[in-house]
Amino acid sequence: MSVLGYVSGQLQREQQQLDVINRAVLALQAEALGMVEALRLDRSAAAASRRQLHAFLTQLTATLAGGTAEVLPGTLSELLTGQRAREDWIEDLGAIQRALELGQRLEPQQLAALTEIVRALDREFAGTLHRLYGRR
Amino acid sequence: MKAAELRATLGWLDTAVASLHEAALRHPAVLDRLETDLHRARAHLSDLDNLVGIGHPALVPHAFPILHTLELITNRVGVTYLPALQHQGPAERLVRGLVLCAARAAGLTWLVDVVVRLDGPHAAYVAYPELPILYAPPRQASSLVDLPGLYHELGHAVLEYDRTTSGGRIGVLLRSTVTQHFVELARRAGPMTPERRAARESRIAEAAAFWTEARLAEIFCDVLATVVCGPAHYLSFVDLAFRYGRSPFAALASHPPVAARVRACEQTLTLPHQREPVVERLRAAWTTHERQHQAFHGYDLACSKSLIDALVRASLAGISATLPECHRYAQPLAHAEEIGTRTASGTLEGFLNDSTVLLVEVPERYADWERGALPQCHRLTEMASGD
Repeated sequence: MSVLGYVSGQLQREQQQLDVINRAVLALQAEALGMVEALRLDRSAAAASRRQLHAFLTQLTATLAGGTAEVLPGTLSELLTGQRAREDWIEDLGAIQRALELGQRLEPQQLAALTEIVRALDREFAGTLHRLYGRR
Repeated sequence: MKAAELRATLGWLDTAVASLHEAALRHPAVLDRLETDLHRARAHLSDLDNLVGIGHPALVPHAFPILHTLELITNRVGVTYLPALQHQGPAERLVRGLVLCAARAAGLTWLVDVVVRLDGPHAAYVAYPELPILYAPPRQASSLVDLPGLYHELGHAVLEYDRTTSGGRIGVLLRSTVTQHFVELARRAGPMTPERRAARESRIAEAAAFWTEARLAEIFCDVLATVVCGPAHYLSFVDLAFRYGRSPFAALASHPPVAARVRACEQTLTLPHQREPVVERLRAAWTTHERQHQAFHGYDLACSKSLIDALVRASLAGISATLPECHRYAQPLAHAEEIGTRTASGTLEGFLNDSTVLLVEVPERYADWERGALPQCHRLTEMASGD
């Protein structure tokens, strides 16, 4: 029985989400490092990135808190419910959301946390990519 | 290094796609999409070059998602779509016509084009749900057997289209059906010790977690195929389930147990169809087969009849909401002696159900009948595909 029907769609969705989140975090990194022009980003990119990240984190923290029926992708689940307590992540992500709402620059450790999340999403995506297109 | 490799790959893909002259005539929307993909890929490659060129340690991790996106695009164009478009012959065009007939009956009004590959088991590539690739075995161009499997595969395109345009209403409906079922089950526990309650709740949570998005998708696709094809899909699936080779209660990583899927198909049939002698014969044969295997305790909890029936109802509601032009097959089955002597029903699904009656009741007549029925089905496909 083929898994192609499900996996081909899943791959596309994972890539779209990863692209949005990755570029959003990259834009805020660029802002923090004063590299907006070097990365050829629009000045308005940071504002759009804040909105995109805020929406993503709202969904993520709701899922972490068990408030939705959504299931975290495996790699994200490993990151957010692993060694570091789930409650710590909920608290940290909440602080990031508040900073985003206020248009504040994120602290280095906050950007590092978001980058960890991007890495986890990327591992999930790369795993699905390999499942479909990896060498046998 | 990877950027250089990808640059070379993109160059090759540009040339290969540009040389698809015939495909450009027959599948212009697909070619447009692939050219858009390659254009996006070049933009991603430029971003990657820039990031790598800057080389700041805080920014380098962001290169990997871009690299993987480029791998997806080059694989999708070069490994999936390009070979499919390069191998479009008369047989592929014929089956494409059959798929377009099926899509019309299923109400997929948003479908723009379909590419068919006749080199593998039934499957669908639905990254672009309005431009899917449908896979079928080579014999599909010369036989109606197992054709209902393609209706199931169109279901994956429906789910993906629903996810991209409506946030996945069908998925949400199926997920909430599972959640509600197990919440209610947990609530119904009578008096018991805390330890027993905790153990029960743990088993219920495990049963709920069994229903991954992938497994729910398969149930939906089975329901859609049965709605549109009627008993023809029921036979096709029961036949597949008999050939499964493992316990009907065993689950694959991404599929529910076939026993659960057979029940879903059966419960989807209209009541008159459920009472058709052909369907009753199939059901009796399947029940005998099931009784030869043990259903383990986990199966009864995860795949109870009440949950499967609830998932069927949720799937039907999802179909009503998202495919308003889906045509439910409700014609009574013909008597075997009428088939071949009367005017054909005029729909592909009518032919598929005639084939079902013959395969179950007078299989020795099937080959001759199919030889006569196929040209009539091909005329239906000419109307559907405009070829």
